[in-house]
Amino acid sequence: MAWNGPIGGTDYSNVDFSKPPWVNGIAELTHDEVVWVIETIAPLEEQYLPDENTLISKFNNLTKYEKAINGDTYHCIKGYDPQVNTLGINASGIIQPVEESVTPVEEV
Amino acid sequence: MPTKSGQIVYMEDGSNAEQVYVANQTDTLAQPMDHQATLTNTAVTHTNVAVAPSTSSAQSAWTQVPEGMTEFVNNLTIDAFMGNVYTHVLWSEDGTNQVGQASITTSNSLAINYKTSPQWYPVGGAFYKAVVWNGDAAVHTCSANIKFRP
Repeated sequence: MAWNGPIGGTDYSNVDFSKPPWVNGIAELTHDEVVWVIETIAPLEEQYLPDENTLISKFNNLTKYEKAINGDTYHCIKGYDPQVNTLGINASGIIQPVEESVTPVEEV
Repeated sequence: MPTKSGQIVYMEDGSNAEQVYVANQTDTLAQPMDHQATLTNTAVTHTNVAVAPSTSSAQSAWTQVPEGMTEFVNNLTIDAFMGNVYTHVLWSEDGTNQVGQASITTSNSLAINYKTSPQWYPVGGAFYKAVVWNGDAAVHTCSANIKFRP
């Protein structure tokens, strides 16, 4: 699942209100979507904004809520390093690569 | 600094440190009234959540009221000066079924963006769900918390 906002800012027919950003929790976003949020919100973070609510609502308004995020998603993205993390985020946080278990080779 | 003699640690005033520790750990020890009033517990219920027009955003799960808490207030942050964006709280005794009526706990008329309850309200059940209601025609980003006190 990607963005969970109203299409064009007005059409809510596709929205699942039981999932972020309409409730608490981290949204499920791909790497490219996370990078897009980081790049889009960066200029807003450089402005003087009185609190985090103002920052996130400005971001959400910028995207007409079509690509809205909530506070939990924002906090998760703040810890996302695109140079290191490449798999995006989900409800558990930053998706980590599954480490392949090394099977010991029996010496003959 | 406390000094140690054998198995017993003595405080600077000569008292036994272990006895002092045990005394402070006693659950039944009544706290002074002025101290009780400061024992609050704040739970964040909405972290910059988007609330669609004419829609509410309720916590997805019932949360247990912290032990010993009997009253609460709501605090709400809205992204604009809105009158008809406000909070109420749902109650349950078993964490499954809602009981009673939810009353509005922050103003539904004052056009401000930081709202707090005008008074302390009695806790209505063992479990709660905070709700942010958006009565406006536009979507809003809101944060809310509940502050409990004994």
